[in-house]
Amino acid sequence: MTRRQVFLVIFMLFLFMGSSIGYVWSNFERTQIGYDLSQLKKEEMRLREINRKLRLDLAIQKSTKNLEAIATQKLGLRQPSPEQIIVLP
Amino acid sequence: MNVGKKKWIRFRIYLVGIFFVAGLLTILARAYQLQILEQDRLKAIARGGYVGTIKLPPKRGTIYDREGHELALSIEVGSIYAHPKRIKKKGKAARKLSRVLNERQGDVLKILNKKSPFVWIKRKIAPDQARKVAELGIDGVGVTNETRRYYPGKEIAAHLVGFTGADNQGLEGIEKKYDGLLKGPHSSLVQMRDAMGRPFAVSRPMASGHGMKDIILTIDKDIQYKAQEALRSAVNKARARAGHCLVLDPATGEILAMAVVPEFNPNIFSKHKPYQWRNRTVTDCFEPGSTMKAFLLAASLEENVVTPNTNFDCENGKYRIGNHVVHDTHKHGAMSVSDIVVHSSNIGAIKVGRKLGYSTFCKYLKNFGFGSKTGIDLLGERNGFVRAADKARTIDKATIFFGQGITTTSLQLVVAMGVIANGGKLMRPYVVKSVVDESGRTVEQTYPKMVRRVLSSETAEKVTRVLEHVVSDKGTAPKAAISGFKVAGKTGTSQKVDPNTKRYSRDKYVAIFVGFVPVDQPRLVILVVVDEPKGIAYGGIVSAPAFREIGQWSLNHLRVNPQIRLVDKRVDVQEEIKKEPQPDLVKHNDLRIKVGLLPDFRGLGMREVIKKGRSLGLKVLLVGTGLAVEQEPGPGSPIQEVHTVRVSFRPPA
Repeated sequence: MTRRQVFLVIFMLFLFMGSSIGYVWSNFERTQIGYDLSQLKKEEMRLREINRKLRLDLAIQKSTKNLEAIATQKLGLRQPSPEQIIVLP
Repeated sequence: MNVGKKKWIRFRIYLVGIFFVAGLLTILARAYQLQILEQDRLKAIARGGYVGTIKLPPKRGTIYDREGHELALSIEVGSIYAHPKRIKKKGKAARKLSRVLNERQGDVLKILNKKSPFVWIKRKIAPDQARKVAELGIDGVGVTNETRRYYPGKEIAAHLVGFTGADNQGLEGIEKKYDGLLKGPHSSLVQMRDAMGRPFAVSRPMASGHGMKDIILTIDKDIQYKAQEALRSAVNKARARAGHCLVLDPATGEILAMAVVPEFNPNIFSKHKPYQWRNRTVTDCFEPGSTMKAFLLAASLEENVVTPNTNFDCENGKYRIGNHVVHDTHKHGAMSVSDIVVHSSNIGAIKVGRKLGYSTFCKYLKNFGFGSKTGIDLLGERNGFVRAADKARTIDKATIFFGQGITTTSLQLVVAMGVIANGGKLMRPYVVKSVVDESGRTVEQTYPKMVRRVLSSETAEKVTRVLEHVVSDKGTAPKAAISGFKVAGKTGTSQKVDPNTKRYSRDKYVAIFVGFVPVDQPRLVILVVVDEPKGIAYGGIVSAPAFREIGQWSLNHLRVNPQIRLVDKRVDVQEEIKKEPQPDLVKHNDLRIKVGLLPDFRGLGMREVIKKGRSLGLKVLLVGTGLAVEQEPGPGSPIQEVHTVRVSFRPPA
């Protein structure tokens, strides 16, 4: 075997090893991402549900009865009479 | 090598060859069997090993009001179930469960001791409570997710929206009518599992069938709130049996509010009685009483049989028809058609009606939509009743002109008044504005639809002018007047038929007011019906104040500017200032108006400057925005010489 051939064989060996490791690594990574993805999906569903709950909460807080009570009792606001309404041009 | 040996070798070669070919064929056959014939079964077994499916609780679409506020919303909650046969120590399990669920131990044990293989322990509880149960890890007890319907506005629009049952099925109102659209599909989540059972590679939720839809109503939750509140107080004040109220946009036919008393809370609907769930605005008929005179006037003017000034003799309050005598509340002599409507004379109405003719009036009533369904997108709508000409007795042919012997639903009456308000067009009423899918795209949209033209716009205008007087001091409903706006309407007080005697009752009435505002460009038609008020039963006294309250609030809410300025503004605002101490945010001593001298406007907001300027009868020129920083002429100038004040504003730093 010439020196050149030995070199080539070693190079091929490294190439083979490298690609095998690369393959295993990508497979491993894929699985890991799969796990992460399923976690995130769960998280997404959880957050969506929380969002709905908060929307319900907001709707209860914003109910006209509530707002009117706060406006009239706490802040002392009241409905304007017609002469108090001034239309600015 | 001899021939025999050669043959032997060849034979052995063939033997080996056949052996291999047979082996190969067997393998191929088995492969064919496994890969093709039993593919489905085997695949399913394999998938069972690494694929898991999670059933998601069926969702339900949201119901919104016209501005996107939630009226009904589904939330995920936990439910606890058990397989009693699999629980070994029932007493211990019951003790643990009762502690977490805040239930009596005995009650839980009773459930666990049932013979059936599957029992619900507690349904629809808070998710963290459900998680605590799951953490107990009792064998045979499980937690599943369900959805629960919430109505954040409680009583708001409850009769219209309806409610759902324990299994998410619509039972009343919009929930029932549009159950097919609101109901979500049974969806499930498919995921791969590793050897440890942990999920990876989750797919999108798989849904069977169509997706759920959200529904947007024409209701305005603020107007609805006020309608319910005003109606409730009117019903309570009159100690009445029930009441209904409708608010309609006459230009489009959209229902802005639909209120019914007695009310109920759909979150706990089972605690109310079924008669409280009924949407009386479409399911209950009543005799409309004098409100019919508005339509009599419209028909007579359209047919040109009378003018508003034609005079009729009102017989001093007593008029005999066959064996019956018709009375008026007040004695009247000769009156114009206009006054007959304004003072609501029954005898006058009969005389106008006779000139018009019974069958012509019936034809108009049909055109106004009486006697047939309006076609609203709600369940349980009734027809109402208009007696055909050939079935009407002499007395029927007289009483119909003041609205007895004819029945109508609240909805028909408000839609018919809408015809007069919008210039003669009968609009189809509707409550569902649009249907939206999960990604927010509009799937269906309801557009305003004109059913037919009933009156010319000139006639509608003339009728409106007459109905305006009803709300004046000399009419029957001064209590319906809304300051700042011109209002038109008609009162009605009708006797109810006693179901026992089948005759008109002496003490059971329906008090009605139906009207619209503002007169020139009507935005709202409001109907208030109070059923069986005690004491004074007149529509102008019982129902009109609720009309005023709802109208005033709604016009403010819709930002409709007042049309009428008060005549003596100067006095009024001066008094207002005296009554309300000015906020001492800005401590200017000379803020108070010194007689004869121009006040200091500096430091005031635009609103106060205008208010103050007007109260002094000055013309105020405004420059810029924010707080006043400069004025021309300066403060303290003698007011007699000043006509115009120029005030500059700058936003506060």
